[in-house]
Amino acid sequence: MLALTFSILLTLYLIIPDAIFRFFFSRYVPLRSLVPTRVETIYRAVALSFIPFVISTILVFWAWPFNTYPLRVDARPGSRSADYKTVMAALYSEDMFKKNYEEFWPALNRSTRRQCRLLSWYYVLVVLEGVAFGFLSSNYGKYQKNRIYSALADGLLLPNISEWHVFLTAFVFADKKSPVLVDVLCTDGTLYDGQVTQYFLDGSKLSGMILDNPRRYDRKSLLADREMGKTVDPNAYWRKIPSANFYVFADKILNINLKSIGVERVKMFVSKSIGDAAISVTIKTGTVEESSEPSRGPAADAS
Amino acid sequence: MVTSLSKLAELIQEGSVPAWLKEQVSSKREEIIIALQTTGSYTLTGPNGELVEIRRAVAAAA
Repeated sequence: MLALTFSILLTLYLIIPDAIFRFFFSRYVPLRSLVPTRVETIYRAVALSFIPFVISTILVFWAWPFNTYPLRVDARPGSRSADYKTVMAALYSEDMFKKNYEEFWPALNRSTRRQCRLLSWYYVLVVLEGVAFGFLSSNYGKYQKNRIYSALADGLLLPNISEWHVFLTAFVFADKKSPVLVDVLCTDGTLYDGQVTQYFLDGSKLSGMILDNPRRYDRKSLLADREMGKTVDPNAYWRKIPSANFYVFADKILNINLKSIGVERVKMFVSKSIGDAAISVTIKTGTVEESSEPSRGPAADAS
Repeated sequence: MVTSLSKLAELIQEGSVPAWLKEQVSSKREEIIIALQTTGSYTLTGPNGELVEIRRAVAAAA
């Protein structure tokens, strides 16, 4: 009976809070859905639930209204430990259960109400923790230079985040408008490039991505022109694909070359190079080399 | 092997200034400084048509 009680408590105090935390955290950034080892699961659950548990315990013991609501318990002062002793003894030994039968049920009722009250506030704090951590994670690029944040991110935030989110979004940049540009080589040898606007996961695996301003590299024409002895500019063989949402299936991708341009980083580099910090940088991507029309690509700005 | 995402993030950040931009800024440094002082802006063009416009912050604010 004690083993069963222990399992229930483990579920209520570690497993459910971990699930709640991950649910709210994942509202901000997609999480890894790896199957961790039992030790990793316990470590993560304990690390994440420690602060909410300590705070909720302190509040429920000493602070109004947390020590009263919800599930008010009408009992004489000091009955808490006596109730827990009665319940634990009865769970441990059937003889004790029979001996204290009359006291057991009221004590169990009060203990359950106290535990439910503690759990209510505990879960509320876990929700707040999940939201706070999610918010902090989504602003990694902005806060990463802070020493406390950096330690928190390395230990708790980043290990929970999908590596695809880090790779295919502007997650690491302070400026969320920084364009994420990629070259995608497919299994049939076709090379595409474009700006990643959306990606899709199947569990932890990438299932596909949408490219904006997609282009296909016309290698056949390049080789033909070379054969004819023409002087060629390799950059002139990109062909625009007339599509606003070009979907690339992940199982057709051989490799991805990330060409992200960090607006803040570019600004820092240019400022340092020309010795002038009072500048702003605007990046426009997606111009088609064959067209004379101006760039229609998205713009990112760092002032 | 455990992937260190902070290391991945660092690599992405380090590689987020394109090589062509580094080359152009280094080779056209004087030109950029003069253009910023006279016209207030200078535009670099990447090999794939990327446009990086540098403006003096005062001009940007105006």
